[in-house]
Amino acid sequence: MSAAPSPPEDRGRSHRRVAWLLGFAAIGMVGFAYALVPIYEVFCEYTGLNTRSGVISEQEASALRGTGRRVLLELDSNLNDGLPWRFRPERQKLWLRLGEINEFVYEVQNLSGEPLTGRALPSVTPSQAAPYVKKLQCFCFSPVDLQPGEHKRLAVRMAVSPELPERFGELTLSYTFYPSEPTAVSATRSSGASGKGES
Amino acid sequence: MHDAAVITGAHEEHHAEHPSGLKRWLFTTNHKDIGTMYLVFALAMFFVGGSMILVNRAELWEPGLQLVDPQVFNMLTTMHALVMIFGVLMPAAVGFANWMIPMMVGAPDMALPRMNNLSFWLLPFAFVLLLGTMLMPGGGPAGGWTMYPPLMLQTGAALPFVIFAVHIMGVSSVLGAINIIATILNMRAPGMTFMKLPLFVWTWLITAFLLIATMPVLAGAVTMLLTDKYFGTSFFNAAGGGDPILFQHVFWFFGHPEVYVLILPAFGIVSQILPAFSRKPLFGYTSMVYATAAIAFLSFFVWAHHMFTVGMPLAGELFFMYATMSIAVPTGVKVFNWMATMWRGSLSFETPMLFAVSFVLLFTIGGLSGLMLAITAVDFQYHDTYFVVAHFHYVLVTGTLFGLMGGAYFWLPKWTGHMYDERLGQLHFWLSVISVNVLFFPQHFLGLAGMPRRIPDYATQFTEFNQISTIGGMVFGASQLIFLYVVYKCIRGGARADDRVWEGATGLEWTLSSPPPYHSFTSAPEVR
Repeated sequence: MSAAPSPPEDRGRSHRRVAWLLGFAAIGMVGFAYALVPIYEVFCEYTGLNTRSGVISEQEASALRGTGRRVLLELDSNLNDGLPWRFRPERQKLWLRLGEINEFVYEVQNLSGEPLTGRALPSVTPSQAAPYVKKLQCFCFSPVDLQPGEHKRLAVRMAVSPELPERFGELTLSYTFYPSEPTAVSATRSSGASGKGES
Repeated sequence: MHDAAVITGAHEEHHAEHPSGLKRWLFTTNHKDIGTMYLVFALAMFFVGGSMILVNRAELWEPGLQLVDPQVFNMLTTMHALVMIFGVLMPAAVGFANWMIPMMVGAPDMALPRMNNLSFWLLPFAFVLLLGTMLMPGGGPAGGWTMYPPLMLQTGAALPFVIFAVHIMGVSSVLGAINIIATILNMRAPGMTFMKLPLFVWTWLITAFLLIATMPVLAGAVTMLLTDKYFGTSFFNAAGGGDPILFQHVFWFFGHPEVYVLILPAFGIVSQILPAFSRKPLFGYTSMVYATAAIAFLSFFVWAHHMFTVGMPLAGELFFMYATMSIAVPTGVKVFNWMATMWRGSLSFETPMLFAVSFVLLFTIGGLSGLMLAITAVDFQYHDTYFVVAHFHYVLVTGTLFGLMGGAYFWLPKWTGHMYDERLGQLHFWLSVISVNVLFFPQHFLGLAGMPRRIPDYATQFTEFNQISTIGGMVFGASQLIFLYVVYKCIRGGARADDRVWEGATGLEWTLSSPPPYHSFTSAPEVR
């Protein structure tokens, strides 16, 4: 009769080898799932996808060339559930010239009896225009702490890129404040938040 | 002969006593016992998951809320999906693998029998955890089986239990996959080269690699959900700098290969059945193997077609559209080969063949509606409507489930040594195939007309199609009781099955007695 393929102890060894190799591969794939988080961020940043709007420095902003074209910017404010604040823009509409630096103010007040922290997330409508909205300074770059009853004026310095396509005549810039844990935010993903350029 | 005896000697001694009763099942390391337990578990869960959705189908009998409130409706929808995917289709496929792979490659048992025992016994615990959440205050998970945040994070006390259950299921399937790969790589009989492996073995080899590559990604994704909810991380929390869309990417990186995990073993089963009842060898064996591998490979590059509406840039939409449509090519190769196998064959239509033929036809309908969904422009209309529900039920019910049913009828005589009741089998098939189309075909129309999925109430103009669908669902559900009886009857007795069982069947498993000996091939068979 023909001999069996391999002696039993060899077989056991090669089963174990296959099992360990595949087991490590499986553990590696858990690592890959976590690696997808930074990969996603780097990919979005590199391709410019998913960036709601851009951040630029003062020098870059002053280098922008105005074209004289004007767009209407509407300012909007929202509060996420459970944040007992008052939050509204000082002016609701303003006309901007493309390429020029503008500054406007939001007012925010803590109506509750306890100190609270909120984090504002911006959004630009229409979203295709978001990459052309460039921020120099924004209260949304970091969490905002408010003592009971405290009132703050929050400033935004921004410019709209002159490359904004003609079809956009009106833009809406909206901010939503979410309740936030000051320590948790700065501890977990402060690098990700600023690195991704959401502003 | 002498060598073979030495090899199996240790095993024989170990199992000589054949523990009986409960102990036999708890401690068994035998591939047939474990395969049986997987199949019984899957069959039990099939009725659990089925009853859940019949409650919802009853709720959808007419507009408005009658039977269950929306929270319960959503919970049953979520549970139905989790149970059917992780508790029925996957365990049943693993059960088939356990039973058939050692017999098909000419091995005495699986490569890692104790691990085999572990991977089965993890499952009942996972499902006790999962199903137990329905009794918790606040109810079970109701955010859909896709578990998208932030909705899923609103789940109450059930969330960590669901996530832990998913972890256990993941460990179970990864261990099962490792075992299957080790068996196929190391335990083949002399002469059983890779290109001689039966197609069922090939599809399972590829499925096992998919499982090892993707189940850990699901485990990672749900762990991120867990830490977001309880440990202050912000992977998917926009307020902390995260992005809920990221979850969808990670989830579907698992989720799309997962749908091939569900369908490939059924492809394999059908590729065994069709040649047997056509009395011809499988047409295009080599191209079948390569097509299966190509489908598995491509499945890693199409995940975002589940999320066309999240606001991807045009380039992304187009990439995922074309990548998805390219999967139709290897799938088309398979469908062509199945038809060419039957072409001018000497066909006979016993129950397994009926299921296999209807698989080819109905799976192709599901594949075609999948192609429609792949077109990004029209997906914006179809997304999250009943059209999607109809699509994936054609693929998973008339596809995977019919493949598994066909396989069960095909191999039941081999497993039990008795022929099943052919008359009842035919009755089961015809009732199932008619009712399943009454159940799911109208859902295409509902979806195209704009009825959203996962909603307990609907606009009145959808009433008729919903009622037709519900009638189909009830009949389909009831017909499965016939299957239960056929299996029971076949285990208890019936006409003796000979070794070959089917006159056109080829392969090593048919050279063993029916039922096969406890240890399949104690001496390696010769493969020409």
